[in-house]
Amino acid sequence: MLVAGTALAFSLTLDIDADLPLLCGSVAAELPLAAIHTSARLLLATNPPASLALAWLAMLLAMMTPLIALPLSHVRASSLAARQWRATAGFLLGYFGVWMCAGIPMLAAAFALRLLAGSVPATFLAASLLALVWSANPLHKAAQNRSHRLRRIGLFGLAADRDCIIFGAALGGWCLASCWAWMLVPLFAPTAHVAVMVAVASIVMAERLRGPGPPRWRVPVVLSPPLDWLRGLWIQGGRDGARAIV
Amino acid sequence: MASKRQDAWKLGPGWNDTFLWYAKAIIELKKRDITDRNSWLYLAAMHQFDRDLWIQLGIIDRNTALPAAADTKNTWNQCQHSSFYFLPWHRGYLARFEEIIAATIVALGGPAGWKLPYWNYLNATDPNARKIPEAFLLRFLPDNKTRNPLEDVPRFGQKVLAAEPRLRIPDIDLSAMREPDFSGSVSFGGSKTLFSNPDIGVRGQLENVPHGSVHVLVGGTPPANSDVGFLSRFETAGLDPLFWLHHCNIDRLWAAWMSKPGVRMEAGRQWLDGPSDRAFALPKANGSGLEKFTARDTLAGGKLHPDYDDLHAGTGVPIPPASVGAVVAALGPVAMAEPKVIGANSEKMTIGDNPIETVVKIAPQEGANMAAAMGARAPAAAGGRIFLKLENIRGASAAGGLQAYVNPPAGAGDDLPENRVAGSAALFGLASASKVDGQHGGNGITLIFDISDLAQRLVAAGDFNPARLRIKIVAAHAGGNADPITIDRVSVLRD
Repeated sequence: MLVAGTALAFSLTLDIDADLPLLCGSVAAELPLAAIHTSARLLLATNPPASLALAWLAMLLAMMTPLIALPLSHVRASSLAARQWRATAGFLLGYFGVWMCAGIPMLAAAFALRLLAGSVPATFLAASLLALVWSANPLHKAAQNRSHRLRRIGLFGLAADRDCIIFGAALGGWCLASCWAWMLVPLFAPTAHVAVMVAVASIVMAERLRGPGPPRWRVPVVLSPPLDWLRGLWIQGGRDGARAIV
Repeated sequence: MASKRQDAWKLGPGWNDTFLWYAKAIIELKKRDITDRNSWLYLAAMHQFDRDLWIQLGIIDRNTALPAAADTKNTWNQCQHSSFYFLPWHRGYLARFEEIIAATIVALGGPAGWKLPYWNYLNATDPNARKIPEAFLLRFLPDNKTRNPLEDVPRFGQKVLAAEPRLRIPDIDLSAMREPDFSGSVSFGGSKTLFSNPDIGVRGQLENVPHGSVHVLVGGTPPANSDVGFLSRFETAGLDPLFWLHHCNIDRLWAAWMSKPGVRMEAGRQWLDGPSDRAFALPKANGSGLEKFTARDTLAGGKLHPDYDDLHAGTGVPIPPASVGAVVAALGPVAMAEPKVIGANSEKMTIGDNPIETVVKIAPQEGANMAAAMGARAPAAAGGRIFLKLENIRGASAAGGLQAYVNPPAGAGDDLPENRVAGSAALFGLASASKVDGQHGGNGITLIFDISDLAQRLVAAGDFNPARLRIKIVAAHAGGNADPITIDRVSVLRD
């Protein structure tokens, strides 16, 4: 949590246009290809790749670190005491390496979504809707199930380093497959960026804590409490006070 | 009816009142739809539910209407294994089951105060102790017409508990009672986890033996038996009426362990008031709703704390002298000490029908320290126990058994010496624990064996090379070579 909080604070100091503002007021159908191209170039000009990468990393550290606490404890407990920091570094390299590589297609996806949706609020709503649909999707559950899988960690030499990196990368891959849609949402919340980051981090954490389950369409975790509350009201009315708790 | 839980074999032979009313209550619970929170099927699904498996086994059919998901997401699939919640969750589950059976008996016109008996299989003073109580083997109720629900359940294993060499499961014992700590990867009660324990769960010693052994020995599984019984799987165990008597004894062993001087009970908020990620839930005994509970509720003074007539017979806990008052288990440190890994093998193991050997290498400095510490004294006396850990045992077989040896004689074949056994385990719920979409996230079962004495013997015999410990694993499971068991890693740990 300390790492996540520090990264969150650091992300505030970075001057990044998180709302991809270059396309404000336009919709894809109205934009000629040349204009899209120019917009993309301007986006990169105003947000240098190094800054973008740094902002992306800060966002990942803030939002993903709580998710990897248990797998990281597996890595450390599986390693010789003298090698635990080295094992940690290998694991984090693999995990965040995958997420950093995914930054480019994620940015492209965000760019495309921004083009299609038009305004910033519309894009935020579209990204949120996309995330909800993805959370309900069986493929999301299938990916999330695999993000719980532990792998062997070697004890000695380069084999141990390799195992830590591979475990981190595999976990990062399944986390990416599971969380990609939610990670788009904060990109379109320029005015309440940190609050949205915290909210999204809470959602993906709650999804992970829900644990494995059969892949099928299901109510997204974020919608469960309000639905349960409404159902509780209904049950209370229908059963003369019988409480549906927990 | 008795006011406390009693030894099943002390209730009288055959159809004593306790078992007859138990049977009648089960018949009544079985008449209820699965949507009824006090039905037989609903209560069993609280342990674990798999719709496809239940259909395949004929427990329900494709048209069976299930309770609303909003209900089952709170109450079904709650069983805690490989977790320090194993004992408190099952205690709450037993208490409510007992309450529902008792209420049903009263509704049927029977006596009030029915208590769940315990199967005291390790009571050396009772020649019947290891036998399944008679009422669970009779085909009919005393009217000789009504099918006996206590017997009418698939069981393919033993009727008298003993070692099962075909499954590599040794005789059950009370060795778990020697563990001083409740929580941890080497502990009495299991490792510290969340509700969903796919990431780091390790079985407690009590969960391994006698708990897991009795499940598989009685339920049965190929290759020793013709089929897999209900007791051998997480998903069907609660459908066997004997399950409840078995767990009642496991629960009593916990109560007895807590009465031992010197044991360290878990005191962390995560355990007492958890789990934080999903609350334990029970149906109310009148079926009107659900209520949640925590481990704290299962301790003395809590609403789900049980009362046993005897905590000594069959528990290995001696009766204290009259001059000594009741022992209250000490609350241990929140973070109990964990042993550290000092050695491991270099490759994943795949075990079909034949034994497989692997080599564990201990880090040079750690190996030297260990050998020096073990020079003249037993490892425990030298300040640290030594453990062999089998990590993430996975397999498609419903259950099975496994035995690990350290430095077995070369060329011994199947005739491996007992004095080289590091440990054995019944693989209760192996397939369930290995399912990617199951509660264990496909991480299988992780076992830890105390090999301190064995290591000491090997050192004394000059057969302990820390750079090359040979570990042989023999497994018995239905999958054979086509569907082998895998073990991610074999490691050595030291306190």
